[in-house]
Amino acid sequence: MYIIKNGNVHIGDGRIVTGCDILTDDRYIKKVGKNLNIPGAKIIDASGKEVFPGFINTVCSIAGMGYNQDCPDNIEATDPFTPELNIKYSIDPMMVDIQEYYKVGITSIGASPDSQSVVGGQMVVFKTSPKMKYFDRILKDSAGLKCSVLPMVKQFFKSKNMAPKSKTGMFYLIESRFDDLNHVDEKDYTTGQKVLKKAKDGELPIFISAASKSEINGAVNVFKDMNVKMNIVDALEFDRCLPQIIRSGAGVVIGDFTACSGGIKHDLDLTKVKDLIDNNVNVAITSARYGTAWDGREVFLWDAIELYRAGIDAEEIIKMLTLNPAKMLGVDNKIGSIEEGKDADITIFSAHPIKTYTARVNISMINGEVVYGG
Amino acid sequence: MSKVLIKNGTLHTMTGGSCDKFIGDILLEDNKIKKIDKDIICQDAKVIDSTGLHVLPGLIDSHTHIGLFDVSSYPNTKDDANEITSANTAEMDVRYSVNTELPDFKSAYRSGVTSIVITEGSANVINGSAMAAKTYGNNIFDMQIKYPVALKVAFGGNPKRCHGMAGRPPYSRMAVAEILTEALQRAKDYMDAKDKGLNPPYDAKSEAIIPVLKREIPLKIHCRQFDMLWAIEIAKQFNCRLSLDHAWGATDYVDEIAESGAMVCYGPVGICRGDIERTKADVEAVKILDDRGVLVSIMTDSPLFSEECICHYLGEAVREGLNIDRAHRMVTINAATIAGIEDRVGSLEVGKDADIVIFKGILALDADARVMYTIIDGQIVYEYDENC
Repeated sequence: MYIIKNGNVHIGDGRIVTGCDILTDDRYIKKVGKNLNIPGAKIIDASGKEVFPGFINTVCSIAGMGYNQDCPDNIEATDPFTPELNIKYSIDPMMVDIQEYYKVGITSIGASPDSQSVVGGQMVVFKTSPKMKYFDRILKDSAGLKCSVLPMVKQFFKSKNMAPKSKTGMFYLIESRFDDLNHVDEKDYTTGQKVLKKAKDGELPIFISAASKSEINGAVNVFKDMNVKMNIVDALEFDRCLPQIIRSGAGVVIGDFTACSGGIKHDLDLTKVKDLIDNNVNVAITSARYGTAWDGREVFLWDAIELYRAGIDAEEIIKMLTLNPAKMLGVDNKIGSIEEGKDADITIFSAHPIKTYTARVNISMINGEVVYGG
Repeated sequence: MSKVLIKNGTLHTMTGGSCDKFIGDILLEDNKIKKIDKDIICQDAKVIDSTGLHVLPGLIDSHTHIGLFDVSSYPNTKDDANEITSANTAEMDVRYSVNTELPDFKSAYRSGVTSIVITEGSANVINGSAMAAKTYGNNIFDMQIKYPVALKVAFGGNPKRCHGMAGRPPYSRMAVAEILTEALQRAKDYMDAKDKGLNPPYDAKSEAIIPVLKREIPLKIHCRQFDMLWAIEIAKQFNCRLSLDHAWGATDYVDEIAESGAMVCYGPVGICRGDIERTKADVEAVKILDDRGVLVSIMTDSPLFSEECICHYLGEAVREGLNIDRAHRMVTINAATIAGIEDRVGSLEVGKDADIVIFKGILALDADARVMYTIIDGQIVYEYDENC
């Protein structure tokens, strides 16, 4: 049981409460308010410090990458369309642990298959605390369906002389497999079809990697007659199809735009993120670099900093790291903000991590347990 | 005669000592720094009012492949950095691969980077000779500051993968070391024979290695973790100068590096942990090594990683406790010294090239520090436009 005293508390929904205390038990946030005093609770003095809900790295395929990269576990390379697969079976907790995500305040990741399949499989929300028991670390099973229409999909399967070899091929695969659901009796559905049905009905959010304008437009169009909950991941040319995205109601998970210079960034105009925000598009950030798993934990903060450099309000950015991804992954009842009853995933920074590089994590707490610092 | 007068900025000179940082003026005439003083008056100069701004020597990236990799159609990256036909291509001259039209040059000078070391990739054990160049221009031979500046060598996974997997040596780290030592020994014998007037048959590979053996240029060795131990040992064996490039995991070998006199080009920063070739990513190494007197630079490996990230890379070092002024040195004078071009660039001193970057905010401290002007050879090549 802790009381985090007198911090500048960033709630996660855009509000900042100064001089605020947070009481936690061995799992949850029990109370948020001023001048809390509970006998027996350990005091953590957060005076002059910035307190945040744990950050969520929305889409992240590192967990299932495996040590042997010649044969990674986050892609089933024999088949471009595998909704029946679940990334949880591939997560090597050690792989997550050695990233030490909590050192930049990331307390949960949207563990995901890689972006080299049209449908790679189901995502899970996974906590970054090495102190937790494995099964407890899965906050939500089957939290999303990872899809991709990036060029690396067709390139990868072309190299194996398999379909899809073109953009048309990738989108046809999505269109036809979802259409199959209409022509089969529901009781005869395969495991994969049952998963697709959930996605089609909006019970399982879709996270589709689409970077260029034509990929984004294609993704919006291919799902337009279904009741899906869609999030466009990577979205490096979102600035060139704002009306389409806004109309579609899709969320946007902006992929890492710091990794490569020149052409790969598609000359992205980050100031346009403001247009997304103004039109109530749910925006989040992933540190994943264009569908690969090369990124270290630091990249997550750099992407947030790049948005700040582009003039986006710092607290809007904090939402993109916390409550927004929690909503996308369907875990906003459990994490994503500092509110009573939610998991005690809390990070205390020495300064605002989006405004200055001197900001260090003083304490990182996950499920009420201090995992770093203190 | 073109003149630029930078007025009233905080000058970060990188000269060390008590006048390392002060508010003053710089007069640039043609392509050189003509005068540094307080209250310089020059009627016919273009004036840049730098009140409240920070003036640094143009930034220098000590390890890039800019112009060699075309990433614009990623993932179909076009590679002119690796002549993967032999494990030893020491005779390669990197200049002929540089495409100055690629957008990464622009990314560099827009990020305040005015000089770069351009080096071959790391597919072979010995890859060829590297150059130092300015980032603005349309002919790499005119942009050249110096060639050669180093002989690029690679340890570890890359030569193993590019050659060993194709069924020719090196498959293992044992063969990597053997190929390097054999080439160095052959070059030494060749050089000795020439010195004795024996007129040995011309050997282009050995010719390219001779400047290393004469300590005119360093071995620039791609290495990480325990590879750096054997880089140090082999360099010592042949009395070569050495720069350890990438150097992930250097925190495990601080004593060995400090005692060897090796230089370090650390980076990229912010890579994922866990790949067998990158088990450690320890940016705090730059502070620890700097404290021990090692000459350290921070590099980006652009365009595989981004020149625009140089601020983030430095910022992470600062987050790990590195003093901000020391961080600035790692992308200016230290990088220049490692490349052997410190007589031309890397500090604000009279007589040096007029390569200047003017920041609003402090690089590596303020997350929103912004390049307002980049000046190369006395010419304003980039000016921040709020409406653009």
